[in-house]
Amino acid sequence: MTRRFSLGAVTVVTFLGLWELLGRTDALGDHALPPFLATASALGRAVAAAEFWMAAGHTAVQWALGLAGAMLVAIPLGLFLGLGRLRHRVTRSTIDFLRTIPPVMLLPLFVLVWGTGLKMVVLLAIYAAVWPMLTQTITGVRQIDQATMDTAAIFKISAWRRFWRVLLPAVSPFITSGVRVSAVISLFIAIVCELVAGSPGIGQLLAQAQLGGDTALMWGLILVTGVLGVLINTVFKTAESQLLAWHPAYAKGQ
Amino acid sequence: MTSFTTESSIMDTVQEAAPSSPALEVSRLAKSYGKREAAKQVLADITVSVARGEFVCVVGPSGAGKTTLLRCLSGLLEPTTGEVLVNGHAVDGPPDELAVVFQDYSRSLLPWMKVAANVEFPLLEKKMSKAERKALVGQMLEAVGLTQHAGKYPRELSGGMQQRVAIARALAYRPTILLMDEPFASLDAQTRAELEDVVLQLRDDFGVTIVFVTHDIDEAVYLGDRVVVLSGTPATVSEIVEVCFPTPRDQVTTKALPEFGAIRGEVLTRIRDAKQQY
Repeated sequence: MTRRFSLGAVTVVTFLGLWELLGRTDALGDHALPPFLATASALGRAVAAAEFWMAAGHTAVQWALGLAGAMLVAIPLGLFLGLGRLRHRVTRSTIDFLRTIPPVMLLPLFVLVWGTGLKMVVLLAIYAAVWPMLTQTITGVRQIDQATMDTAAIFKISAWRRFWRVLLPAVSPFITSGVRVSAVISLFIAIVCELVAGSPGIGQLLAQAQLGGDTALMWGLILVTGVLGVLINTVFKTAESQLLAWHPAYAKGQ
Repeated sequence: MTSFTTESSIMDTVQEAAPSSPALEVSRLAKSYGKREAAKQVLADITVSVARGEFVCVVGPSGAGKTTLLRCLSGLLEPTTGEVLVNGHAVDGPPDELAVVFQDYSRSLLPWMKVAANVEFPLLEKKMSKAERKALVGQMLEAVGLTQHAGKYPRELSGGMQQRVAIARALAYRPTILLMDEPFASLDAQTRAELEDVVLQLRDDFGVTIVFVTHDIDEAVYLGDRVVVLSGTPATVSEIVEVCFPTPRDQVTTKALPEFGAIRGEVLTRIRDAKQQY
């Protein structure tokens, strides 16, 4: 554990040192990459202002609503579509078509209909985040073994228990991995909306920094979104391993 | 032990419902998959009767329709024609007094529940107090020798132990009939022999009627009071062989009996003859 930690620390320090060096020598030209220390101090100044935290709050709310909304749509719909062979076959090609359209392509349309406020961002985030969870949930239901369902039938397990204690746990590894992917997508969409359509949030700050020629702050905000992504992934992975302690993939000491 | 009295009273009421009928009656059962011209007939005209407390083994080559027959008996599959009676009542969906042990224990046990919870799960549907349930689960885990493993997940146990859990779960359900679908097919020979004796012991302890499907002729002859030989396409009952070894049976002495070889040979000949006809 400590060994892994110190190895990680060495990598980070080397990376930041390299950044500092490239920044000082202006390796990218046009002062496109300021040194790390300049970036850090620009970010430090931004973080001290209330404006940053307002923006971060907007991004967080849009991300959370986008993910939660997508979960409310994708998980029940995925269970419903996965449980019927006909339903699955009829909808499969439509789903495969829709999920390959880059959600950002729909941004102009969404702005036209809903403006640039929170509502638009959340709806687009929901749209984009639905697909991984939906396809994962459907796959999860389809892979449930006949023997599992036969067992429930033989022992006359009630529909209620069959759903909560057989179906849902059997699909849960698929759902959680879908949620983890969707969480990052929802953040991505929120920031893109802010950046391109000017919805309030970290992305909007980034756009403003760009207009003001403040490259150091731009890099600082890029760093912030990267850290947010890693944080979300870590939190969901930890929750997943707690929830799926029974699963062989999460077995301790094996 | 209050749980004992309640359990036996449950069994009594079931048996009183139809005192004279056999535990299981199959009459003229046939099963086809698919429709009209594309229909593939798997079972044809199966008629068998199993008495209370009897141990009947069903053998036949792979693909002979053994599993289809068992699924029809358990009410998971509707026969195309013919009828299945359990304790005198026509089967229309899985009957209350019947439990099944499947071949694939790793999928039949629920991996997200610990051993005790797996055994307890079907009992949640019965009108039992929590204390009664816990007592019954404990008793059944003891019967299969897994008391110490109650708090483990199934994946932490060997295949043989997992199948013991499935047997404990089936018996805790208090069936009068236990169907077993090639339960030991994926276990090694040593474990299989152990579990065969566990099943014989449990049959004596709980007085349950057992229908045991297997492709292993030695296993069928060792375990069964009678061996039903299925063969042909579609499968029919080509022979019902009476097995009359002294009880209790023993892996060494029973299998060394001259009658064991004779009966084994008879069953084998039957299966081979049927194969040559087609």
